[in-house]
Amino acid sequence: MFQQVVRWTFIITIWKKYKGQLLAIIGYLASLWLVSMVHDDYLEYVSAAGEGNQTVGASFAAKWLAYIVFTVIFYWIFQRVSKAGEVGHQGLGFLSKFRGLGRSNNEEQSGTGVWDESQKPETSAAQQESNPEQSKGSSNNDPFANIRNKKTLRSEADLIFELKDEKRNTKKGA
Amino acid sequence: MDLKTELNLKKKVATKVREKAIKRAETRIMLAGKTPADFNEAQLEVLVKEEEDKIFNSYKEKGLLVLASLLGLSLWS
Repeated sequence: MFQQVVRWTFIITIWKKYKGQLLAIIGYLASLWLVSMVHDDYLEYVSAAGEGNQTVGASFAAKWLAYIVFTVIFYWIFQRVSKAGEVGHQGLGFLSKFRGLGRSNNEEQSGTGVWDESQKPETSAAQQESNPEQSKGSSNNDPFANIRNKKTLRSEADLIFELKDEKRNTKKGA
Repeated sequence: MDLKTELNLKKKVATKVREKAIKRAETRIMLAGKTPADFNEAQLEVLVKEEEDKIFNSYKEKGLLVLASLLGLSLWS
């Protein structure tokens, strides 16, 4: 029973994730098969009827032209489907709704839509000193830009330890 | 991208997991009715770290389940 559940879960997951790509591949293979069948039928007709032998060469050229055209179309569709999938959750409508909701909530809370300086949590001083330009640039565009490039991330405990170390250093300095 | 970087599976996995963690953190922030701009970088880092740990833990659990199923240890039947 468990095996069936795993199998169907796997199939459904793959289908949901790669539906566009799979349909494109199936369509491409079906079109190639259709062209091949039509060409075979035409060759059979030519050999049975014994006429139109001059156009056999042209039929091969047409077949390969059709293959190339279908391949180009398939490539174009596949690229488009893959790019649409890459946009991912950023393009989802419901998240943009939440984004708007978040802003309106903040507006209600502070009246301006942004945090007051008193409300806004403090950034660690060491972090601001270490890369002030980076943090300015990232806040303008993508707030996660710096996080993306970091090798390891700090947990809450690490930050507390860092703050304590900073305090100790400042006391020693004074 | 050169071939060495292309074949660096560990880095690839880490990048994928980081991206997933960022997306999850973003969703979590939005569900809380806020935007990423409302948080400073340290707070965002903590959030992403939490999500990253969750993802790695889930991978480990799934790995153990797969291992158990491969070894024929049926837990449900």
